[in-house]
Amino acid sequence: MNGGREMGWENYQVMTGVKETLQRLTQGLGGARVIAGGTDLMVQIREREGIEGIVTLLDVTQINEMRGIRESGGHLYIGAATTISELVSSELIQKKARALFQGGRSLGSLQIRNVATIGGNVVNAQPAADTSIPLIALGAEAKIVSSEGERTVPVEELFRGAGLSAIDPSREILTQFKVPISESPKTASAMERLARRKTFTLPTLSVAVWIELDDKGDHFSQARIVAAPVSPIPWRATRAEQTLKKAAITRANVSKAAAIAREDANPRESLRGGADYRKDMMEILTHRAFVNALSSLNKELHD
Amino acid sequence: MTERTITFTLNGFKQTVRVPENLLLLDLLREDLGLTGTKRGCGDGECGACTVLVDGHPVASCIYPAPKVDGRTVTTVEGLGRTQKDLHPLQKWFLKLGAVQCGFCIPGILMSAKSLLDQNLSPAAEEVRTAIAGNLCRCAGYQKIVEAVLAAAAELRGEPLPGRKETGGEGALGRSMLRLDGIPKVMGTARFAADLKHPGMLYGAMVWSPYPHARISAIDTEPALSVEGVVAVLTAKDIPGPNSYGTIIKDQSFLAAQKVRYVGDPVAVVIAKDENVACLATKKVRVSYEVLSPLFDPREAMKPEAAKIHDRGNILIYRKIRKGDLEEGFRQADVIVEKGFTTQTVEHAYMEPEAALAFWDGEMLVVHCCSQGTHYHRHEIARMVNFPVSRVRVIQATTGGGFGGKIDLSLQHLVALGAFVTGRPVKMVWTREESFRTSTKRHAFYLNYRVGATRQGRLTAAYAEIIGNTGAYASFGPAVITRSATMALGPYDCPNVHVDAYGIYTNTQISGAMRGFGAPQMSPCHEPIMDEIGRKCGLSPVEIRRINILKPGSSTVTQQILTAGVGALETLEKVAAEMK
Repeated sequence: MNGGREMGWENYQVMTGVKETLQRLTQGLGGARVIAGGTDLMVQIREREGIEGIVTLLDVTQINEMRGIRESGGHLYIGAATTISELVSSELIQKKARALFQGGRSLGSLQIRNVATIGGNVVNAQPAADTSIPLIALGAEAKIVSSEGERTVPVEELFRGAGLSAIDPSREILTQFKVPISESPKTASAMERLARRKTFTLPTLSVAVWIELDDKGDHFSQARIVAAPVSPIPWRATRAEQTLKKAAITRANVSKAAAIAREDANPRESLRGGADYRKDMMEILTHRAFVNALSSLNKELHD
Repeated sequence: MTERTITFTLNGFKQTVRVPENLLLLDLLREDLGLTGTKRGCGDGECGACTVLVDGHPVASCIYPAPKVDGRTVTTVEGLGRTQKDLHPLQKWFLKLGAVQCGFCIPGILMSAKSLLDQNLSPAAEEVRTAIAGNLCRCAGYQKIVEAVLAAAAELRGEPLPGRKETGGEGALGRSMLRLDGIPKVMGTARFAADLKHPGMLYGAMVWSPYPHARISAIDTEPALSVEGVVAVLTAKDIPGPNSYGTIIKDQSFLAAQKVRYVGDPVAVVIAKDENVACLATKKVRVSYEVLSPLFDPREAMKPEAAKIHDRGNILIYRKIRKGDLEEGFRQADVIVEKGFTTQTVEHAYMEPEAALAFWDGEMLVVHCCSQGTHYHRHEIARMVNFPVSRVRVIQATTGGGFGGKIDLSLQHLVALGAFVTGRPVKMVWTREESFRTSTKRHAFYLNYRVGATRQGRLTAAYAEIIGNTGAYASFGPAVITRSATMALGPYDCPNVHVDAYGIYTNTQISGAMRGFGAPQMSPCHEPIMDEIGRKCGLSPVEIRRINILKPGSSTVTQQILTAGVGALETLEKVAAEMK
């Protein structure tokens, strides 16, 4: 907009219900879209002088049914319009979805976290989004509603490319995340984030892990390793994960998995880090993330 | 445009306003409600200058749609201390502890700090740092700001306050003084150029070159002039005086006429009834270019066969220094160190993007602007409009940081030309992108050093080749290059020195004045060289410097014999003692 004060949309409506928002989307015939905190979208609109074809923004941040965090039947339910500040100040998140807490608290600045939402962070579809990586590691699912009905999709399947989401904000609304948690002290998660500064900067590399131990607590029963930016969408180190199935929680096994993650990762060169450096750090951050997750279960790697 | 009526509580008072739905909170506050204490530093929610509290929480108002505050509570810096006698403890301590310099970031930082102290009256320093992590400051540094927040917290807890040691003495001597302009800065009432208004004011918007190197074949302003609300489109043709300026060499056009030499070179200015119309109409100014191949690397541009960026050639300055007999010096050397270096372009990134307002006051053309060089600006503007300097008045508005980057003209002459041509007041405020694109930078250098010393560590010979990228125009290039040449050896004494320093035109952004003025590029070169010579001679970093450092009686690179006031050795000894 080059200093101009008017932004590239005509109508901005603060919605109060999901149903009426869906109706407005349908009436808008494609000219309307959902906006959450808008901390990324506002910048995109300013830089691109609008979004092609969009004249109406429907703000979902005041819709009560899309806000807040609750626990029920072995799951955490997180409203998609929950702000990042609300997310990271939640004891439920701090205790039961640690990687998500660790990722969320690194997102932007306080000014951004007070406005940005977890749903917006995921739909914006940047591969290294600070809540996307841990949500995938935690095996979260997203509830998506449209005028045609409702569907539940693993968060991992919402990414089509850098900045390209499987969710169409002119037709659909991401309303809620469902995160499986376990009562028994067998699962844990952690996220390691490397960046040039401690705060308010995008990561050079982030790695989130989720682990589940067997009943005795000395073997992994399964693990998930998610990293970014490694490819245009969040990347799963699946081969490394495989090696940890039923493996003892030893230094050798975790080192081996971390080395495989390094081998398989194919990051690119960017302003925030060289490709080779990122590849090297893949191994180190993966290792650290496992140590970090195990420490929350009061466990250490043994020889 | 759809409009709606919103009601919210602003600084304790209920407000009902009608707003277009595409208005941002920052513009609602600054333009519609006249609360200009909240600043726009970047427009992207990155810098924190626009921080206000919504329901007590800091948000970036520059990316916050105004309709969202309906039914909510907004607090701005104007809501902190309502009078000078009733300052909030945060404002008082920011003043007392010298946390305020240019003042542009201060309103935003005060709001972030206020929100923190409202929730936590006993924050640790680390918590203060986290709370203000989204607020950038470029002058004062964060340490004093953190101390001020902690002191305010102590006062609010009712604890005895940390005083500052004062030695006392005559008048102001030995006492901590409050900044003269400090109170308006912590109250948000200091007037930066973007905060100024004048009745009947028009707005300017820039048309700049998208090419690094091109010839202008035609400019068609008609399509822009036909846009409703556009009053004028300024081009080089509107300039009554000579179309050239520059602090040392007048090689730059007020508005490009024949050629553009970097991406961002100003070509035209649209003057319109409001900012929005002016910006939209810039796209309708049709400039036809004949694109030329650009030169970005000064080492290429200085070759005799390189295409000429300026008619006079690409070598802006060659500064040659010859002291002693270099060959003899190297013959005496037992150890020789050779090293090559590069340094990068640096943007000043002052918090306040450029802004200016010009109007007629009787027969006087008046310009209020951010500036580090009002007298220089005055002379250039007078030259541009063919006035005696006595008919031009340049008044420095509160300036949000400069660091050398606001000595050159940026937009001051363009609003002056707008007022001159239209007879109406004209204001222009650059975006952060425009500021980055068109403002001057620190020179990037390519350097080659060859330095010799005896086995005992005494320097005998030094050669330095310095190639500075001065960018599209001279600005302060000749002076910066000269300073670099004279500072090539830093604070070290060597009997035989040759320096060949070049300032080379390229098609990059203009390099100009920036803190240190050519000297900072030298220290990352001569210091590692001293370390390496020390290693080769088996001397510690302190010892090798002690031997060669300038003392009374030493001769500098330019053969000045130093007499008194040479503090380098004393400084070195103090640092060495401190490090033990």
